[in-house]
Amino acid sequence: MIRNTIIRHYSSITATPVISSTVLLARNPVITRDLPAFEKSYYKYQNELWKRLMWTFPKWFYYRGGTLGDHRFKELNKPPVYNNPTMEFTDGRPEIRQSRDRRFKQELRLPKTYKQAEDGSEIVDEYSSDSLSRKINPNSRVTQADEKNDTTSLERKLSRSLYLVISEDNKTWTFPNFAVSQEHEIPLHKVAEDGIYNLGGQGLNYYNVSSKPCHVISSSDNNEFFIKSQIVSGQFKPASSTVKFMWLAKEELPKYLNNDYYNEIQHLLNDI
Amino acid sequence: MNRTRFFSTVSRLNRTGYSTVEPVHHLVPINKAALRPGLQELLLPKDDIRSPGYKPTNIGQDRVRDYYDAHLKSNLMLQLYIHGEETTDGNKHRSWGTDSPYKLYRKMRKPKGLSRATKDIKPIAPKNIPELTGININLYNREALEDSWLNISSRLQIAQITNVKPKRIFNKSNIVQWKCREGKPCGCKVHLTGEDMHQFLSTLTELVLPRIRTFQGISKKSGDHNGNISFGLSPEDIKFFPEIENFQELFPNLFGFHITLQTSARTDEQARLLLSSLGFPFH
Amino acid sequence: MFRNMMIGKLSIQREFARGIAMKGDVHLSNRRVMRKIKLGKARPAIFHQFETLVELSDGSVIKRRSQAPKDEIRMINDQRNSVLWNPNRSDLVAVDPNATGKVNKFNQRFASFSPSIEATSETSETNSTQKDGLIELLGQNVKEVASGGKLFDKKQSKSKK
Repeated sequence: MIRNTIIRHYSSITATPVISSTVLLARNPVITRDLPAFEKSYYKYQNELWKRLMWTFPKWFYYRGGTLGDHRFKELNKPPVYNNPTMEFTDGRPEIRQSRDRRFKQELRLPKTYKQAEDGSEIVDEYSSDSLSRKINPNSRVTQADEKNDTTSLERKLSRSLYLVISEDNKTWTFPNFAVSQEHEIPLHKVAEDGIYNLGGQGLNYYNVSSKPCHVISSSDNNEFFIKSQIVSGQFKPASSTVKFMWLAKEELPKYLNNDYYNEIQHLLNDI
Repeated sequence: MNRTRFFSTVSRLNRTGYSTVEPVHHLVPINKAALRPGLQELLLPKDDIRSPGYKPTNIGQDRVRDYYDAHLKSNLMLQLYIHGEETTDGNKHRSWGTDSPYKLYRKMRKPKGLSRATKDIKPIAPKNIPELTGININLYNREALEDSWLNISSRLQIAQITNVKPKRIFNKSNIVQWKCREGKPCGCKVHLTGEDMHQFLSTLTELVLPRIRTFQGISKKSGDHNGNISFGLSPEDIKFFPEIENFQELFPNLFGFHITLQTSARTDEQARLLLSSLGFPFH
Repeated sequence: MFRNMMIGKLSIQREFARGIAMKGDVHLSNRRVMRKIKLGKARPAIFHQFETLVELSDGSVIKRRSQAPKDEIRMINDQRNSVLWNPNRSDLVAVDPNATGKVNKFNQRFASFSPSIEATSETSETNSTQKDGLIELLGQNVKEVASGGKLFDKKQSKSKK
């Protein structure tokens, strides 16, 4: 059945004009995008300017004098060098206001909920390893699937949009494409939806962005419409073992797709 | 032998202390033509790095902006596209007629069924995809009419939540029963744009609104027919903001406020579509 | 018309007089502060802000700027495990705080036995990373039992009085 529904785009055997619906099934990025080096240094520059212009931290508001919090804050943040009138300062006189040297940005260390080593790292003991007050360590941006280069996994390239491509013979790769039958008047998006579910999307939770197609490739015998859709949860598991699938980012697609075909549709794909 | 020590109270009287009255230094107009050479930098525009009023922007990666630019914009365009759509004229002010000179020069008649005119709805195109342009927060503090120091609390609360210094609002009319007097400060307002707006938006949708137990979504009836959606938060809901939640003893009095989400959408339906894709549920 | 819509929600709250903390204890001067900031010395309001890492309930970490001196926050309830934001997840218990009456109470108490939840659990996500470890240990077909029950709602009880 699947063999009948999938149409090879560049076959010229079909006689009557065929209308087909192609699904651009995407997985949206899970984490923030990777910044290019220039953008990263620009943000760093602006952020340093921002820190320099920031007002003094109102310590007196958050840590009242004599409280435990005040004591712990003072332990972590030593007061700056006092402007001693009898002393000579080689690199300018300190300008102390509210125990901050106004010539520089104010950098503060905050008391933590866990035991802290001198360099700021957490001292791990058995008791604290699973408590709510443990240190927050963001998960790695590189997953196991990235290391193994497992292209069938949804966990790869978390910062990029991934697109589903399928293949029957493991040589020609295409987006899932389904022919609209001539007899029954089923709308394009419905054809795409049913097609994906039959192909192997039973455990898949996804939605079509719109019932309207976002692109069409027309030739004399073929009108190929593109339906944009996004996966919410679940896995794509092909119903038949002959169907191979991959989740690929935009820059990996030209390796597998026909070159002309890719150039025709590349503006539909997300760069991040 | 016990001796009680009395501390001098003179210094207490001379101290400036805290005042409920705002200083006026920045409200004094500057005669720019007569500025002395040392103060020439005051003439520079605020976005010039040499200007004393310079405030850095783009200080970090903005994930809401990234998401909107890369994903939402194209999806909204596709969803809102209608084949062969033509411009729908909005509800405009009407003419009284031309059969008498009195009608010609009379102020235009109100739009049909509404007190305010609505915009034309043009077919969707890359340049008019709905976008969140700003968030307006308006806090009317009724208690501050009686105790003026409470307005400091409300401004502090808004500054904590939004990271932006709020402006005071003043009573416009005298209503004796409500203790309203003209010119009396009665709350604060803030207009958020850019990164502050995006952070406030993600705080609301990720941390605050999901924890309000009675919250079912923004009412579908809300909206001003021009694509601006408003809703309110009550004083009990404010304590879910992380800044307030972790330092509750510093905020003994909390005040509810109104939030208006301003979008460039032409209709409320378009605005709701945009906002629900940014994480606001509707009911 | 627009203003009436906005004020709708708060006006209910306004009917109850709220106690103001420290009402009689604060005495601030009504005189102007006689400290001047010289011309050209006023700076824009950039509050001192810390970069706070917030760990959400599903383990994802977000970064936000905050004035409060707390740079690590761990959330227990947030968007990632809220029923309103995750209508497709069957492992979250929907407790309707506004539910009153016998039928609603019955439904809440015995929500876990209703056939509708069984039907949705098949199509719900099979992503094992989202489920917690205990469920994984018990095996594939195990379902979490919805505890049901109505929790005490402060607002609701207030408005009933």
